[in-house]
Amino acid sequence: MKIAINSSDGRVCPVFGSSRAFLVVDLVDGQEVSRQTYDQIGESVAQQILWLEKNEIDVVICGAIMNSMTEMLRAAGIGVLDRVRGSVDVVLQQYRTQTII
Amino acid sequence: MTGPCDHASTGSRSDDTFVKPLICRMIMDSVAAGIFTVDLDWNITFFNREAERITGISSDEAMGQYWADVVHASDAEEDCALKHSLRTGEPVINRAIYLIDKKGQRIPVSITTAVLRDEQDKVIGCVESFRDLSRVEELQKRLLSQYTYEDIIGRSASMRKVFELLPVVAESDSTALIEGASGTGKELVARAIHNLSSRSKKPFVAINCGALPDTLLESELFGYKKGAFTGADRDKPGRFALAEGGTIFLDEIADISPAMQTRMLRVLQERVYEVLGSVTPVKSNVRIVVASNQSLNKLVQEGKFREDLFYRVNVIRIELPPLRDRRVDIPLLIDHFLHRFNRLKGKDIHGVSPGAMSVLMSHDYPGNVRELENIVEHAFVLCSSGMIQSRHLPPWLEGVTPSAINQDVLGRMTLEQIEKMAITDALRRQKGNRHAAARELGIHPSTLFRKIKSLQIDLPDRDGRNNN
Repeated sequence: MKIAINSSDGRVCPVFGSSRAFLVVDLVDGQEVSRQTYDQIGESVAQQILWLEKNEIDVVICGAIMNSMTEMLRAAGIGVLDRVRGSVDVVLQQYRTQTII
Repeated sequence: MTGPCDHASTGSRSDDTFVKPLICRMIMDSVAAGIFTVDLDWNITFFNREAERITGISSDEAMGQYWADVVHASDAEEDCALKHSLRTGEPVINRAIYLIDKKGQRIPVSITTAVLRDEQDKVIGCVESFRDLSRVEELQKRLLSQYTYEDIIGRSASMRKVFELLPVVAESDSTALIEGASGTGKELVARAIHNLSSRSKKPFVAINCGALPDTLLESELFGYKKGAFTGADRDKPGRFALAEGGTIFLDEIADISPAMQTRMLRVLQERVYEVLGSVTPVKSNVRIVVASNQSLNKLVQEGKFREDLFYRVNVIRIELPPLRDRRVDIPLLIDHFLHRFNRLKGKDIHGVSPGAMSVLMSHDYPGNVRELENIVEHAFVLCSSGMIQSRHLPPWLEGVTPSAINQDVLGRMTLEQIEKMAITDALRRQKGNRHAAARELGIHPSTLFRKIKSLQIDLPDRDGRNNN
């Protein structure tokens, strides 16, 4: 399962798309098998969504997101976990242990 | 954790000059703008009532939280106004951004930020106020819709006349002639006539007569039978057949040859045509709308266009004014293009700064609305967020604004010479690439080719298409 976190300076970005950086983490049976940071994804939110779709991301974790963007992600078959805040590592740990708020 | 209202009564000055915290809170809550403050750790120390309303988050929830986790602002990461004020000590005034509220709704706001200092002039944090622009945006949209008619935009008197004429023309079913320079929206008007007519459920077929040589134009318009000429290995329906029951739009009608004019005359007179390779006349039930970027009447006088054909097409005439004659429409058109590009590209460009608007308003737009659209698209690509500034506009634009041109030199030049100069410059800038030059000038490539020929412009050895 591939998770993408829209992040900035090690924190979940408060508004989806206001940062062009994504941390992509591959989880197998709840264990992290790889992670990579992509810094310059898309010049617009629409391009970012296309990139996420092309890279077969299963779930996006982000801060606030416009309803229209949520719909676009869902239409691309990508799950959305929004209104998440805080450190990326803490959020990932919470996601793996299913304790994310 | 102390907020600005707590500091209000702790100064060394007498209580007469300072207000008490409760009164300060009441004042802040009565202001019709969201106001919040942060300390040096970026945690919220004050959150007024309007901020609660706009964000959908209560003051109790917000207090003590990292500001960006509460106020979901589009500028939170790049070019953040709060961070700018804290870093430089300078205020940011009336910057247009958007917030996302608790329900995921986008709220356009105008923000102002400034640093907060205590009585010893020590920086203790920052304040941001934000005005909800949702209603302003809604009113702007409503205003734009009032000035939009079937995708044609204009509030100028000349465009309002066109809007008044359109339903009458659409109803009549007569052949219509649309005259106007390149890029004035002739095809949009033709589409509007079709959409408003009783033929709207049937096809609308457009063809640019100037872009095709005679033989190709004939087969495109009337179709051909298998074996009509070498390479005709199957029957192909023409545009007239494809438009059956609907409307055919013949753009650049002035560019067709005298022989083709004769064939067109027959179609217009008798409403019949022959498919290439067939001798059976085909009856046509198609409404014909033609367009020209030159005055057909003038071409008739010069003997370049058949007089009888002119009278056939000139049943109803609509003249589209050049954009420089309806500058009042420029801001509306810019809003329209920005709205469309925002939707297509998923960006959120709010508008155009006064400086950039002044440049856009003073340009003469030889390529008309199409040129304006290209300029807005250029700026839209370069502008990542907020407002389009002068620096986002194409560099050549400022160089050709009337103020920058030596008016004395221009005054002595003929229109033909100015046109020749503009085309030569565009070709040079585009390294001889004619398609790119046409794009830059906001005219169709076929129009550029024709002008290169008629103005006898020397082309570079290479056509520039393979330039990287």
